[in-house]
Amino acid sequence: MSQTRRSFLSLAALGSATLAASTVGRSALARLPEPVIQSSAQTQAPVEPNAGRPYRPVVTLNGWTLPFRMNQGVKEFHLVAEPVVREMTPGFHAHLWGYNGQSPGPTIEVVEGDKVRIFVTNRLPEHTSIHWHGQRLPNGMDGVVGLNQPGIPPGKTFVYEFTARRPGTFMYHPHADEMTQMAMGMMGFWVTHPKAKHPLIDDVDRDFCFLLSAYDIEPGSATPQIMTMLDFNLWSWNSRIFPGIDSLNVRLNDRVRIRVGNLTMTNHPIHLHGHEFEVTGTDGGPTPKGSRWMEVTTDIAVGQMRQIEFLADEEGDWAFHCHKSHHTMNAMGHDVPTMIGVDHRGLAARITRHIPDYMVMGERGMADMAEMEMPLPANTAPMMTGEGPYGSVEMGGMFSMVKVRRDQKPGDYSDPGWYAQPPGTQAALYTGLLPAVRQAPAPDSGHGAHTPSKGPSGQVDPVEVRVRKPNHSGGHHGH
Amino acid sequence: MGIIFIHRAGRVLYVCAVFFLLAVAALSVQARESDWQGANRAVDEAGGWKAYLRESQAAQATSQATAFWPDRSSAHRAKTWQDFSQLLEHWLTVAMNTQPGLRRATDSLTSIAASDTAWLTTSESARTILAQGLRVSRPLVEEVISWVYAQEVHQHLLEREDLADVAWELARRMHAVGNLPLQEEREARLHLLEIRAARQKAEARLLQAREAIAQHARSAGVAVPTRASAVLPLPPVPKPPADQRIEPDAMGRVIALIPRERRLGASRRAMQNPNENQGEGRGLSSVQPYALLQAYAALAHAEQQLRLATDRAQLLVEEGLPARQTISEEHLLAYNGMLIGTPKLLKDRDQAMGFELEVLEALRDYWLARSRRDHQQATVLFEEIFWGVAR
Repeated sequence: MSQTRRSFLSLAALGSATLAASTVGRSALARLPEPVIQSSAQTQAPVEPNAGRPYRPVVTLNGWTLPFRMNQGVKEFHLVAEPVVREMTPGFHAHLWGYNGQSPGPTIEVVEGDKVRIFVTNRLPEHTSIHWHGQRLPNGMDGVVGLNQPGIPPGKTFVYEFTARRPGTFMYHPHADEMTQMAMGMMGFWVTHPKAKHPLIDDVDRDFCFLLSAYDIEPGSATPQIMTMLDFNLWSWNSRIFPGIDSLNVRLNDRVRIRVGNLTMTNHPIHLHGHEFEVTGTDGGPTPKGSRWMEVTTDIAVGQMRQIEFLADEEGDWAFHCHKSHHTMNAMGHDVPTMIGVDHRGLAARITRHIPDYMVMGERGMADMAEMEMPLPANTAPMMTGEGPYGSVEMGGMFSMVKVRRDQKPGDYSDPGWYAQPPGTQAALYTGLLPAVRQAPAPDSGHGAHTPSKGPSGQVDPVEVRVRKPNHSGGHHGH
Repeated sequence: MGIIFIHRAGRVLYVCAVFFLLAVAALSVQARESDWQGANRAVDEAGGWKAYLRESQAAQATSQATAFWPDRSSAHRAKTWQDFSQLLEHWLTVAMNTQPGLRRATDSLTSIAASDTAWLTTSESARTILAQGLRVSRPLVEEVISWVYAQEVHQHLLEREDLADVAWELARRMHAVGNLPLQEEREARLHLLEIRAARQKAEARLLQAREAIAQHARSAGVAVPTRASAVLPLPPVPKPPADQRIEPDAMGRVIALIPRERRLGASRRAMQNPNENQGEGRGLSSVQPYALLQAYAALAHAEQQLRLATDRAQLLVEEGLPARQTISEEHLLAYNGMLIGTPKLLKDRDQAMGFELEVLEALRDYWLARSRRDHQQATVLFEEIFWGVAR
């Protein structure tokens, strides 16, 4: 765990002079826990609790859990809101705002009934606050600037204190200059474990969590556009994009829980290959067992949290991704015209005469791009990339894998490498004779018979597209 | 009855028309399906980016082997500015040939290759000599500059026309397979026509500029070169009338003939009271300093114009061109990342060529301002020599 500790005496002095909500005791302000800063963007091992009630800790995908200290029966955490440089994928770094060295901030793990005290130091150039999304807490601790509290000024420390009243999956994020600060990556995960055996919460072998976040970072730059409303170009899990997202590595027949929170500005249908899962928890807590059904995709709306559970009983490398296909791409132009079917013969050389390093692409689809690996603008992740055992995975954004292995040790979260397909279980080239393609009968439109067209070989061409669109002979007739 | 018949006939015609349109639409859909599948087959058969790359590389190899001016490709335009300047230097020496006494210097100048590092040094000394001769050769110099500029603009627009033609051809192919609306295809076509018209206009100007040079050449009984960038040796140019020739040696002899005290006296008077005697008989000796001051004032003005033209040319060449080059490079990188498409990449190149045209114009203005400054220097020199001002 590559955490570093920074001297924090000066801010401690500042913090001790800063008043927070009236419910916070004087002893709480006497001394701040030293903040822990994370310098790595890799998935860190789960942190077993060394005090308080026991629980099975979660693993934060490409993230980490914030250590706490016990102070007279209160769990104390120290969050530092600050500018960070987040490696979103190797070779691409974003200038974000986050907590304790990373964006998103560290996961906070507590147990139902715990009294929690969180010091929040603001190292940003503007005020901030933290809203504890989904928590039952005193109104003055809810973090909405101007409504529940004044903003935390730059250089100052506020302290929040409440009891974690219900178990479940939560998030935290600023409620001050919210559009800016969330667009800049300020968010984090919170898990409240049940204090005892809960009738709706099953034990699991592995418990993962991550946040969905979106950014609009112009290729060639590093800082998000903060005024973007919908047109984001980077869709991330915990501020990582494929191939920078670690895989979720489990042992065969493990019971696996994955908690997901959505702090983007759109919904995400999260899809798991090869397995069926149940949604066992939402923003409001665990779902009644009678309301659960098996599915392979669950949609997570803006501001929602979902926890899914499944039995990992199929070995292999199983894709796990948002099913909005443009969310599994990295930065791309939104007004790039389609070139499919545009024959460039005789034209490519003429273009090259004017633009010597020009290369034709897109006329057969976009997969060529992953193969060509051409130079890109500085600090820009390829739109579709990622090497698998059989070539480019041609993905980006919200894409990862659940790797199920028979020999993965309990508690071992390390990447087992690529799955070796057993002989005879992989799709392969068909080398037999191909029958002639049969023409499907055209539906009778009632406006004249349709004669199938013939290709160069004299065979009837398959017709798959029958879409009538306005054309110049009659497209606007009657308008 | 007749009205009913007409009414029924109209309905029949209407129904026939509807069926005709529907039949046409059905055939159109069928043709589109066939075209669309054929288009997909065609790009598959073409072989993809590797095949296109081979095609481009083969074309590049051919163009390199046959290029009239190897550094002339638009991708290396920045180098062409240097060529352009050297070309003008070259042609300014043509003007020097109007002075028989300066031809020795010209001969030595022309024997040095443009790539020789000593060339510039020699050129500077040549310029000094040239300044003395520009008084009589200024019109020729300006015509040469205009010719070179017209030729560069024409060549530039030929390339830009080809670029616009490529952009339109691409738009046409995209529209043919249903990837681009007709409006955008027409816009590409219109842009091509605009550039073509501009090129035709430039061609007319080139012919005009060449004719002006040709008149000089014809009077000298020599053939007119087809291009201003014709290789050395320099084509002969007509000699000016004998009374306008100024030779360094001759000038030295003139200076030597003027008594030293007279030269000094004239200079002193000019500095003390340039307007003295103007209200009197205006004898020769009294108007001489006034004419000299006018020459000084004109020189100062020419210097100012040259400074402004130099600043503009330097700004565009030293800062503008690299900035534009970076923009183009970034566009290509963005294209590589599928952040922009080929049409936008071609549009960027077109915009870059538009900027390069501005640079050409700035260089033309620089050379015009410089020749005028040189001319004024010569004028001052002559005034000082002839009217006895000590140097």
